Formats: sequence, C-alpha cells, structure tokens
Amino acid sequence: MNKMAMRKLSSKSQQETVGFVVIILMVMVIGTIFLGLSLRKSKPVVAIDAELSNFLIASASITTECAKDYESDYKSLGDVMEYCYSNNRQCYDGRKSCEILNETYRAILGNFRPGGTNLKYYRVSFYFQDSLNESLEDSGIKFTDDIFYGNSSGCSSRRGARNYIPVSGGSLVPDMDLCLELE
Amino acid sequence: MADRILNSKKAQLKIQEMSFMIIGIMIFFLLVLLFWLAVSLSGLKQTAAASTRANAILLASSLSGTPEFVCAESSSLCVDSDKLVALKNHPEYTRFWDVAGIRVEKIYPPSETRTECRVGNYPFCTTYTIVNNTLSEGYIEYSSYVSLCRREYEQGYPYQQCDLGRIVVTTKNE
Repeated sequence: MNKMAMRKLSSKSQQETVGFVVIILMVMVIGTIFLGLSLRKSKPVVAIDAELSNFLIASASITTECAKDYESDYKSLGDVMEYCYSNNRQCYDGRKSCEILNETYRAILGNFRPGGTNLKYYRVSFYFQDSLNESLEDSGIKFTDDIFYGNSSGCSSRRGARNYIPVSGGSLVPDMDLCLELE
Repeated sequence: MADRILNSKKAQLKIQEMSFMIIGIMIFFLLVLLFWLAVSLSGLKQTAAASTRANAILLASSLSGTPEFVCAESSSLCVDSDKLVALKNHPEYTRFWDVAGIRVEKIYPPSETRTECRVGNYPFCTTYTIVNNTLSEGYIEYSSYVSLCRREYEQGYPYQQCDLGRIVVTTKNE
C-alpha cells in the first residue's frame, strides 16, 4: 500500500515538474517575441541627423557655375535644382543644369567628412513632392538620376537627412543617406 | 497512522515544490528584468549622446544666425564673410560671446593649404578665427555647416558668391 502511494506521489511530482518547465518555456518564448518586436520597433533604418540636415540646407545656397540670363548671373545650387526639375534647363554657357547639379554635389561630397570621418557610402536622390502631408516614398517623384558612391552593404547604422526647397506647386527634396567609414 | 504520516510528508513535499517554483520564477523574472534594463539603459545612453550632439549643432547653427554673422539676404545658415573679416579687427568682441572659441572654415571649394584670413589676403583664405581663448586642455568643439557668402563683381555686375563652410564653437568640457 505504502509503495503504491509513493509511486502515485512520484508520478504526480513528475507531472508538476513537467508543468513547471512548460510554463517557464512559454514565458521565455513570449518574452523573446516581445523583446524582438520592441527592438525592431526602436531601430529605424536611417537615423535623421541634424548635422546632415544643416549640410543640405547650407549646400543649397552655394554658388554654382550655372549663370542664368548673363555671364555673371551665377545661381545657387538650390536654383540649379529647380532648373533641373524644369525640364533640365540650360545654363548661360549651354551646359545642362542637371549635369551641373550632379557635378557640384559630387565635388562637395568628395570633401564632406561628417564628424571628421571619411564616407564609405553615400546616395543623394532628388524628388519633387506636391504635398507635404504624404510621405516622400509614396508621393515623391524622382526628377534626375541619383548620385552615389561606394556600397551600403555591411553598414551597421546609416545616417540620413532631407531638405525641403519650396517651389511652385510643392517642394524639391534632396534626400541623402550615407555610411561612415568607422561603422 | 501510516496514512497521516504519508499525508503530512506529501504536504511537506508540495510546500517544498511550491517554494522552489516561486524562487525559480522570481529568479527568472529578475534575470529578464536585468536583461531588459541593460538593453534599455544602453539605448538611453545613445539617446543622451545623440541629444547632446544635436544641442551642440543647434548652438553652433544658432550662433550663425546672430546679427554679427548672418547674411544680409534672408537665408538660413548663411554667414557673411565680409562681416567676419570686419569682426577680426575688433578684438573687443572676443568677450561678447560666452564661449572659448569661434572659427569659421571654408570647406568647398577645397583648398590645399589652410590660411588664416586677414584684410590683406581676403577672400583667398580658408579660416576666420573670431575668438580663441583655448589656452589649456579640456575644451570640446561643436560645429555646424553654413554657407559662407560675400558680394563679388564680374564685368561690373554684382553677384553673391557663396561657399560651403563650417562654424566651429569651442566650449569648456563640463
């Protein structure tokens, strides 16, 4: 009788141990899923950066080789962007505005070292957006080719910024993202 | 009698099991809490560093908007280089801003040598040092990109020549 009772008790405690392990496993699985979701939410693909925003704002004002109505009527990079958007308008010397836009940005970015670090990769895209209420990815229209350098693969954290230049009917948006050599 | 002893042992075993289970669950949740704290605190540190950096950039860019630096044309992040040359001839201004150092550097078009700007070599120079009180160590530099503009003339016609520059503000590292 005692042996029978002990055997019954032992099988019951085994059942309870299995139950305990199942509970622990369930909690661990739920915890892992929750942690994974929260980590995925908190890490955006491209972090918006104040330094890059200022760079885009300041670079839109720099004087280019593109003159408009007479030889010394040199226009800013922001104006050249607008000419490029307006059917790749010609400058006074006959060169295409999109060509000057591309060359000038390449030259500037060749000397661009954010935080004193060289660039491993950069890409600048130029969009026209007619409504600021919608996202650039949904409603932005690319009006010229991207400017890019290097390869984004193996970049752990990317930095990015946009500048909104108002034009009639919407905004011209240079959208930049880059990767530093350190990362 | 035997049944009573058996029941008592069974109850003791159950209590023991329950206490083990409670201790196990507590340790488990403690570990989860510690892990979560470590992850969230590391994120907090990164956020704090990013916030400090953003504030520093804001300080440098807001300085470029003061009347002593800003361009006559209403353009954001624009510094008038003619004003910078004029400021260099007024050493009394070095105590005007509560910072250890202010300099503006031309970045684009690029120049092979870096030369300090004076009335004699302006505008063929790269650096405008307005304030320099950084005699010892323990200072930190913050910078922001600006457009560096001046009035130029070609064939008798005036135009605005803007280069890409960087305003660098030095403060005590507290």
